[in-house]
Amino acid sequence: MTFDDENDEYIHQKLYRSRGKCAIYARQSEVYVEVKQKSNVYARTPVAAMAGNANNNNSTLDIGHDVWFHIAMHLDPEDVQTFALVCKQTAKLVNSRAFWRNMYKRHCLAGASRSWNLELPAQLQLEQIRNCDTKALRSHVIEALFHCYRPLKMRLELGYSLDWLLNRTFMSCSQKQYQCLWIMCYTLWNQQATASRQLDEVGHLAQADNDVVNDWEALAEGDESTAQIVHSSGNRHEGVVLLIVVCRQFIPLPLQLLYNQQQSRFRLMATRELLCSNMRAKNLELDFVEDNCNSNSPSVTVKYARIEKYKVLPWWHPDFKRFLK
Amino acid sequence: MERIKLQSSDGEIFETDVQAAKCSITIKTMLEDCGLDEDDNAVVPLSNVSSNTLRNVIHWAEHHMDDEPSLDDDEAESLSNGMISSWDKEFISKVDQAMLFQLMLAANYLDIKGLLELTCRTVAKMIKGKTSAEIRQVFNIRQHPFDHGQ
Repeated sequence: MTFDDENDEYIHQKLYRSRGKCAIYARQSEVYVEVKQKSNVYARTPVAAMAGNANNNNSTLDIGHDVWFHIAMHLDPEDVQTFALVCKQTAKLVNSRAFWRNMYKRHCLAGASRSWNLELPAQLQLEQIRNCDTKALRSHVIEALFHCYRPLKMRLELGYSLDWLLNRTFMSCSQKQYQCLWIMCYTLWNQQATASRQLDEVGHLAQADNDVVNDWEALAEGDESTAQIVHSSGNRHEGVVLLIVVCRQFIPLPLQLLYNQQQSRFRLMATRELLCSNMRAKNLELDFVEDNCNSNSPSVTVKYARIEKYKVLPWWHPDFKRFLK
Repeated sequence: MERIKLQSSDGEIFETDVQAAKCSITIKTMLEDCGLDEDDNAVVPLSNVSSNTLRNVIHWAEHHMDDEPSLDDDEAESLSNGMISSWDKEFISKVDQAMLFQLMLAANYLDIKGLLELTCRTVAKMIKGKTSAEIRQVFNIRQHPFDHGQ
């Protein structure tokens, strides 16, 4: 056998003819498959890649905890949630005492005396909040920011719409008379609904890789603590929202909500603000649905005719404690 | 005026004033602890800082070498909302995003408070108005936040 024959035989072994459209294929055992790297299309080049180019080597950018810490110390209050949801490190930072202390000093004491701010009520002064635990400190700082920080103050001035109350759980309801007005106060809570949503989010992480999660506390504390969120709060009012409805006439409390025989909780499903027939006043309707009820039809509808006004007060609102029973 | 040589990670050597180099607490400690300030030919190796970055760091430090010594943490914290000087503004506006991040890491490694403050403030401003996903993309964080690690 000549050298050419040997070569031909070797090539024949390596390749074989198929009956398909393509004439020759390599034997499957000889095929080496390499996964082709798909280039990610970014609106902007990632910093790590750019930094690598700047360095003229392939090193990646490793942002350590201390660098994140320094960045966090310059964040504005309205960016905190976004920052906290970036990664575990940022979530932990936002859950730290130093972060909230810094936030307070920058926005609530800046320009004023180093230890007092006359815009703040006594319970939110530095001396009062200095020794409380991290979660309580966070609550106090958030409340203080709504007193001092201009963009958040503007949010309060604009007020919160009724839509803000949707899907919150009914906790209690009370009324009192003030001169010729009747003031109804609904206490609603977002914690239960949020917690169940959070648990769902944890369950669906695999399919929602790029989804933004809303719970950075769980992010900081680790997945295993998600179930404990409901009862871990420094401020017992955190998550509570009040709906204040002011009417001229007496309207009895909705007893179906207060004394439900099934002991189930009600969730606010819909709200309606309707103009009266005389076009001078407004009617307010609130649809509640039982929490464990599968149907979406309202279980209880509360109607307030000719209301004077209503107000939505989240727990950080300066007027919140005036109405909380 | 005393001079000192600094060597970048890619081997380039830069000569600068000792005073400027001492803006970095890391270099200052190295000089004092290792007795390098007495040796005229001593070269301080900076293995974590590339030549491009080091050039910018030295440029910044030479302008700030006569500044007042840094404040204690509490004072710095309350003043961290203060104004950025026009020179610093111009300096930071001239660097691109990649260099900004490199400068931030270098300032952290070299322990230069002023530069770290400046770069972190700029990065914090850059974050403003972005969603978490966008920030993750900018920082090249690929893992989902609930995953372990970064």
